[in-house]
Amino acid sequence: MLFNSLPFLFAFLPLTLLVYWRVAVRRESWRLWWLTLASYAFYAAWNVRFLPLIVGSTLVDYLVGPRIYNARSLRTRRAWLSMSIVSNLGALAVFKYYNFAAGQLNIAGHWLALPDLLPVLNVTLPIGISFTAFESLSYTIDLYRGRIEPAKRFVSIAAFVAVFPRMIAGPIIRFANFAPQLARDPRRRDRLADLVAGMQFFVLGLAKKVLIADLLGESVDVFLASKQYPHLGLVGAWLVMLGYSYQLYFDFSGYSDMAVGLGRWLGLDLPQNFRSPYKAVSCADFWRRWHMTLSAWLRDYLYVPLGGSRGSRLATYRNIMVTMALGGLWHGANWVFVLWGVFHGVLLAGERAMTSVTMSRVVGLRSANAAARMVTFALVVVGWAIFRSENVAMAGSLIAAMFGLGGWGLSFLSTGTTPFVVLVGGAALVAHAAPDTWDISLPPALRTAFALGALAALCVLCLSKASPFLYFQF
Amino acid sequence: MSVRHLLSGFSASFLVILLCGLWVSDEFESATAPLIKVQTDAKRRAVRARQFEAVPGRERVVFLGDSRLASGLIPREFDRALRGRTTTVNLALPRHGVARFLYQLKDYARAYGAPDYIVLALSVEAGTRGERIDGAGMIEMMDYIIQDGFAWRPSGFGLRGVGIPEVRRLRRLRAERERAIAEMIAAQGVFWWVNKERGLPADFTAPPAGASPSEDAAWSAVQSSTFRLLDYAAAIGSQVLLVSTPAREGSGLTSGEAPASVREILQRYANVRQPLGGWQRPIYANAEFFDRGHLNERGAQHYTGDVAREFQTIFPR
Repeated sequence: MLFNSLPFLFAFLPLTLLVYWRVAVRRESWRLWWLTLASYAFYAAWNVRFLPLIVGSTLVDYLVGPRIYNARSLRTRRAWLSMSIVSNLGALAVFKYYNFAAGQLNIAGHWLALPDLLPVLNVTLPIGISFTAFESLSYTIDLYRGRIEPAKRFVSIAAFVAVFPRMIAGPIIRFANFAPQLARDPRRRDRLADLVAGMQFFVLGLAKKVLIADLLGESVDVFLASKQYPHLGLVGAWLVMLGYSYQLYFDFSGYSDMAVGLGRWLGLDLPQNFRSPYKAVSCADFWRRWHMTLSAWLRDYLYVPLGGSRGSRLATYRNIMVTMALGGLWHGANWVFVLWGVFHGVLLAGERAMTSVTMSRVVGLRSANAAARMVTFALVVVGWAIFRSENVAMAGSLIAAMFGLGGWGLSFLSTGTTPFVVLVGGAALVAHAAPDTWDISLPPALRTAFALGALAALCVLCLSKASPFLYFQF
Repeated sequence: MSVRHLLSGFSASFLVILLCGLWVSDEFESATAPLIKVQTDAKRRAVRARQFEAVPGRERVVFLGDSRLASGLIPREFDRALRGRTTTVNLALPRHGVARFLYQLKDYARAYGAPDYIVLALSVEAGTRGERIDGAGMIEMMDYIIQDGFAWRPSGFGLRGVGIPEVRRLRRLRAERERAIAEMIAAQGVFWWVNKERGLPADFTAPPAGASPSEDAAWSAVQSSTFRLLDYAAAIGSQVLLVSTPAREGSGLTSGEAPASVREILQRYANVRQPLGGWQRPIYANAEFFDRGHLNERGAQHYTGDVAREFQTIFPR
């Protein structure tokens, strides 16, 4: 079930909220159970066969949690943590990475004239598994570190792992921040403020998805079809990749906004996941603004344990590269994602290695900021060319075109692409100049309700088909 | 400001805009109906309202088939080739299958009486389509886009449908289209439904395609619909000539013998005949097509002449 689908908007959501606020809200246990059951129903609507997977992994973490926390020796604590890691990453390995690994191994075997070494499984990737696995891991790792206390009831951790607004594509939440919210009575919150904020986030997110990302996506997909992209020249490649960059941003940030809005309607505060990332002035700044909860997770549970920037300069570069490569791989079992992660790793390491002579000294602070934004954005767009490619060859072809190796390609502009160019321009204006959704604070007034109601109706009218969010596949 | 007020305002605004939007989009959708739909509707209306010319005393002929026949046979040319022996109507409908052919035939029989002859083109596509199919059309459309270079193809009506003046303009455009198509159909009984000025690029080479392998597989899906159509034709006493539509040179669409479906039909129905040349699919020059499989005006004149000659030989006066 998608947020931008009619069954969700007109059946699941109203029913869930109605029961939640009319009945379930009266007792904490009712509220948590209703939230869990509704979330399981939301999950099962996608594929009911995977329901035991999420329930099972939650049960493992629920049972293992107190044992990690109460273990007297470090060895025992590590052993119990390993069980949680195997349970969470094992599922991820089987469903997401096994076929990729088997395929690579078989290819290597073929070079040595060997038969297939591992069979390829016919498995579907359960939705949101990458997100729920990381969230569950953060729970047990935080227990291991003694930063939180274990959940006393199964339903507490079940609601944390499954809560539907962020189940499929984040934001990635932490038990330490989320558990107190689940325990708090939402009736004590400012309901009017929650309602307005929820409307604002949900409707603006829906608009980002339906009115910008989906429209861009239709053309981008055609231009990047296998028969089409090899003919792109410099102009075409940049325009198409700009289109994709905005599509991805508005798609993913739209989903995140909708998740935050749904959370506010349930009396829950989900963390910010985007902060105008295309306004970043450096690659490090970009990662502080793009998919912020994933960046923070990778920092806290991978980069810092690896040593972070505490060691030598070389060790820091190594840690950055490992973190970014694994972060890339998290997005999907394909070499292009690893390559994309490495590309960003190189950029981040390169930034660190740069001397203290800054552009601002040369051209003044304001100009330096503008130039830095442009350069950062251009590098990010090149990265997206790798990210969007189906294989390394396609990435090479796109990047070659972006660097002019496929000619100027000015004919792109004269083949009925004007509406696409206009749309890319409009999206650029919003992405680079408009305030972030989190920076907008609409007043609880009737005019706000009218405006958001009208925008919501326009979005619903545009739901000719419910297109999946790009980050669902991760 | 209370929660209730805020929700009421949101709901009221949402409903008003939604209803207005639905009305606008409905107008827009009908205003921008594809030419195929406009043509199809015009043709159906024309049959029911007896708008087609039917000269008394002449033998009545109807053409039934899909877009290949709709753009491939010209009734007036056919009648002229048969020296005024017949009065013909082309009832073929693009993107429709054999199930729809029966309704077309029934409409005709109700309006004009049973036709003496039916020229029927059963293609794999027409057969497998059944009542209606949109998916195949979309794939075809994508194919055109990929073949012909970049093209803007927005979908959804939200952004396009906003603006009453735009709807009015489109409504006028639709009316003009309908009138033009109705006139064309009334005058010639045929309509070239894709932009006929565009044509294929000079260096166009289509990948080889084969209809035959899937033909028998498709037959099981449409067998009952085909039998219903032919049962009805037999019941009203019409003679049926099964024809195959021309293939473009180099397309590889040739088949020397009748597929199992045609053999079964010929065995089962005494009133059904096939062209004397057997099931050899006629091959026409590229210049006689305006796309991969549809004849242009010149090709249609050529094909009409060929079919008329076969018809005269098989059904001499």
